[in-house]
Amino acid sequence: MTAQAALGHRPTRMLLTGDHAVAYGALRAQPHVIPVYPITPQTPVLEKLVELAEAGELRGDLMTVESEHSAMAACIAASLAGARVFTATASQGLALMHEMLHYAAGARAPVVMVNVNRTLASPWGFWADQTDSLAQRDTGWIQLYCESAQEALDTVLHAFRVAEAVLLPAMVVIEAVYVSHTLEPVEVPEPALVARFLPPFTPTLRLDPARPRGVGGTATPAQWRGNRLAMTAAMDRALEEVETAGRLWGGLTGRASAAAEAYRAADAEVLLVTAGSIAGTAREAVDRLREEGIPAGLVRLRLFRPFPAGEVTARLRGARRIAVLDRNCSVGSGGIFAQEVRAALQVALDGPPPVLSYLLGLGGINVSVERVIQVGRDALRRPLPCPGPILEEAL
Amino acid sequence: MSVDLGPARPLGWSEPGRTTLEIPTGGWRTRRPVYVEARAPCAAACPAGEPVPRWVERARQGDYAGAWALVREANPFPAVTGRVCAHPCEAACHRWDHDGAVAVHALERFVGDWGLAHGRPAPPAARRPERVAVVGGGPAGLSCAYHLGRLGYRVTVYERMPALGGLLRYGIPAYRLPRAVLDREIDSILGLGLEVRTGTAVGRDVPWEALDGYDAVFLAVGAGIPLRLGVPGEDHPAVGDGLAFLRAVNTGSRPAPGGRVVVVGGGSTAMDVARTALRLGARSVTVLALEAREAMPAAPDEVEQALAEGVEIRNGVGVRAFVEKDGCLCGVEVSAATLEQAPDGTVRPVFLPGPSGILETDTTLLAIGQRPDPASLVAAEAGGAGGPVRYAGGDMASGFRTVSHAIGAGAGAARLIHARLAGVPPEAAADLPGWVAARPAHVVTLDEIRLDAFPRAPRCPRPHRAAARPAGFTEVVPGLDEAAAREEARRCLTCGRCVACDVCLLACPDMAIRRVDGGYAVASEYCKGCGLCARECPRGALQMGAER
Amino acid sequence: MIDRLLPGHASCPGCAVALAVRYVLQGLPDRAVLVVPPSCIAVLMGPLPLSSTTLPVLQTAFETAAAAAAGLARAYRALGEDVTVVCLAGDGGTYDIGLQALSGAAERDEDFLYVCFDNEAYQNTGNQKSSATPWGARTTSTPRGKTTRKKEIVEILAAHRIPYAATASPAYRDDLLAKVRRALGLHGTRFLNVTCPCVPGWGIGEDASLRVGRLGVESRAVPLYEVEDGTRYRITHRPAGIPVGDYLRAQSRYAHLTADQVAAIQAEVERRWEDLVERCERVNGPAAVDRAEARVPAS
Repeated sequence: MTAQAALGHRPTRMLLTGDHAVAYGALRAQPHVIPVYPITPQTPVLEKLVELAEAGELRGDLMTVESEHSAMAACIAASLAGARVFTATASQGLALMHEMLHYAAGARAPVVMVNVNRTLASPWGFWADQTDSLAQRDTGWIQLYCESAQEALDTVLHAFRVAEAVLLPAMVVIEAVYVSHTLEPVEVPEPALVARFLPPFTPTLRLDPARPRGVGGTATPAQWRGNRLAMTAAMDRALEEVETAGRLWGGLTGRASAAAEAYRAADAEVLLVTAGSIAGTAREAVDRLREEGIPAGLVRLRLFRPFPAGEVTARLRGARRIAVLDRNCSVGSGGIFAQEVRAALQVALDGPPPVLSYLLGLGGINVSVERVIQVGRDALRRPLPCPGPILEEAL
Repeated sequence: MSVDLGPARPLGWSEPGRTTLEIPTGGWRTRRPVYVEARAPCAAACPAGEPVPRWVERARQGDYAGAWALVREANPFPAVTGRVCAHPCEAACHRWDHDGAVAVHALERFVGDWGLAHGRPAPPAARRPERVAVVGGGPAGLSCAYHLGRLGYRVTVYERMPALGGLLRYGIPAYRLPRAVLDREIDSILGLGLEVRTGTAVGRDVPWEALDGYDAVFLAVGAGIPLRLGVPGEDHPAVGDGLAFLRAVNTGSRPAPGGRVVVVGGGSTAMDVARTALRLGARSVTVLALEAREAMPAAPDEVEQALAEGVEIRNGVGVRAFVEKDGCLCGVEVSAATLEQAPDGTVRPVFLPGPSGILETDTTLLAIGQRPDPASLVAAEAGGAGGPVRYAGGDMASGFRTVSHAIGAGAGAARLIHARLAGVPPEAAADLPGWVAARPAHVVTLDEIRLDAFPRAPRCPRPHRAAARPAGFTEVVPGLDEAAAREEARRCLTCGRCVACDVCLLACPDMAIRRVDGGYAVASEYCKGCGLCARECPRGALQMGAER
Repeated sequence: MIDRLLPGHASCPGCAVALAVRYVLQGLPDRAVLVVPPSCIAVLMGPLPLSSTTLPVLQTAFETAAAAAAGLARAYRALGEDVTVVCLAGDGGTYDIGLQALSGAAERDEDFLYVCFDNEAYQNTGNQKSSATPWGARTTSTPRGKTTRKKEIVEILAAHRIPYAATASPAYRDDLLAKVRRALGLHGTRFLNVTCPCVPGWGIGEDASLRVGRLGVESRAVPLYEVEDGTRYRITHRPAGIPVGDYLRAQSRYAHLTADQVAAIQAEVERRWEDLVERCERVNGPAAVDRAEARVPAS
């Protein structure tokens, strides 16, 4: 029995899109300030927040700024004043924020932001693609990838807990359309339950006239390096905090989570690796492959920054072949998750299993169960070496 | 959530209590600001040596006792000079072209009158044994006696006339200098305990040798011999001496210069003579001046008042001769002339080509200046041979024949006598406050004054009561009331003297200037030496100097 | 008078920005927080871990001063704390890269005082032209003189109909502080453009910045005025109307100008002045300049 049930908490069960689920997550976190700028396909997040504010449920100050860049600047400032801050964006908006993403992390502002993965122009597109958030991997933000509306809601709350514990900003990522605009049944936890999970934000260091200190002044090379090392140490702690939050939330709601999650992976010869909405499809493909006699399994990357190299290695080390499914592309290199997995295994294992890179669903193309089954089969028979990305056409 | 982040704690914040005060930016400096006390142009121009900006500053603060005391450090006669001084201070005032000179003259009169009504003279220093004789009880002699008396010397004043005051009493008419004012300022001097022998002319009533018993002697017997034009007919009895005329009036006789009076001269005495003649019933009074109107040595306000009273002034004319007919003076032959200054400072006419005219007259009075009695000069030069050291000053020793020059000369002589008798350096009294780097010789120049720091404010109006054909000798020019005096004192720029106005303090981009007792100090740890403070000082009291 | 700027900061000797910052901080309440984008003011604020001010400072990215200030103000309000938020920015961060954020904040009437210390170029990076650089001025990126006009930033802000927008000069401290106090008495977005002569950038002596500031104001090249609610104009100091050549000749950045060019600037200055006077009189009648008349006698 979960603590939720034991305490008599009754979650509200609602049919929500991923965007609306995110808005409910933000509502339950009770942010003081929400600077936000509209962009498809994030807009429903903003609209739901406005609706909740109009209804008197959301008490935070919804600040509709004139650009994502200003939104993030306002987020950082408000956070450094000691406020809990939430925002959401997508694609071009995230790219416009890029400068301020570095700034937020360097200033140790625990802003929580949802990014809805969307293709970057040019040309214009409105479909799922993870490149926008993955392109921000070096900004010092914690990144969490969700596969469902429920997970998105839960992860917003996790993100606040983790970010405020280690004083680094956190990004919760969902994909356009497949998560953002797809209705699912979602449990919205009661505020009292959330209060047991997410303590108030009470930073000891903030912009306070009673204890005047400045932030962001000019540093010497040694001071700058010291700040970077402190951020790195904070990122290391973030991994522990993500795991703790996942366990704690599991105890409260029955929905536990981890940095990297395995499905039928223990005895798998071929292990599929992916992040985001493809995971659900991949789980079904694993079952079907197993029915075909192919011992397949899945490892879903939930946490991307900090990269959970140890957890990933532990789950992948026994496989014969590893197939990473990327709905993203670093042009000139390939799938970004694949590169990260390869790098993690290379330093962790003596003779790691081959890691094959599959680019699936770029530009928001649907990834079917059949397509993932094809990947499972292909992975076991593909001649080596095979460094480059494998496209759908090659399956 | 509040957690201890250990090595993960943020480092981009300033540390509590740590400020840029740790950074000594004074090391950048190659020049440093130095507070100075320079001389204001008014003070430099004051023949009596008054510290004008300092006493005006006191008056501005409403400290009239302080102002009066400061004036009297130099000049025992502020109520007198506030009426009759030619006030060269105002011509030197740096406010002149901005919005008009500060009315120092009127302010001095206000302070002097305040002193007559309320002032408590400082008691003299402890009595000294040395005795000093002052020969001549005019402004120079009384000034010398006053300063020596304050220092404790035993002073005896010899005066040939029945009363003290010299030209102040026997020359200047009462409508300019009421006798009560003069008497009270002289009384204040005598309050120091001076010995006075009026009606006693040295060389006539007592022999010069009588002075040998003194430790020092100051001669200030004035310039009593009237100058002459040297033109035909000048010896006619109807050609009189203006100063003698004034002396007669001021000793109580009432000569009646009826008819048409001509006064020759362009100075202050000529104005006095003309205006006095008018008051005594002259039918008309015409002044003949060589100088152009604006170049007349008489003060412009005196000229203005004379004209208002009905005096006619003809400028640029010289006297060629006096015309006699049947033994009577009937006219003055005049023609256009300019003047020429001789190397000795005297002026003489240069007649221009053209016809001359006859100006009809019944009485002519000359007011073209005086020279000292040669006998007094001989007496002065006779000193020093075994007897006491003799000093001379005032009109008898100087071409600058004004009251304030005489007062300054008396003060200067007192300083020299004191230096000699007490063995102290003459400049010892000029010590300045400790925080000031003294540059007393430097007179503040106009470009050291930042006039734009001083909003334009009109000079106080000085109305006078001069009316056509005045009958009596009541004072013509009223004094300032207190409000007007305070207002006028506020106009003073206080050139060359820090008044703690905070401009430097506020002009420092490095917060390196702080207040100390009555002034400022520069924090050398932080001053970058930019010089903004000195440049912004409105009154030239702060200068940049080389870094030591 | 409380100085909240401390000695030991790293401004150039004779810096008018340092002085103007000093004055603005004198006018602030104790419970104030500063927002500073890259600029000469950022240099002034001191290197880590030191601070040159007794107030908290957020140093934010170049184009974000107004957005960050808005975020701060919203945060303090949400936290129930009474804090005055004040931006101290340069002209580059205001006229150029930060204009969008400033415009956005002004449109939302965010609650802060924004002070632009306008030294008419990117002086912190060594004097490159900005849109605040006047016509004719030489900078390292306009070596033959700028060929376009200076942006009318106060007009832009006034066009947002914010409660208060004004110009100021460190050479007129009383006027500057009166405007700071007036702005602090209002709510919403308040804007001050403080023209600050720059010692190296303008080519003036280390002791000359205030004098040159006065020449600018008295020649009408830098009029001192305020605008309430974007419409009510008031000239706060009646200038003497000295020739603008006196102002230009005091600066080496204008040394190359010909007499004709100076005359053209004079004409432009007069046109702008007439326009300003018209704005004042249009809304308020001739009394709009009374505050100035009280201080400067007709001469």
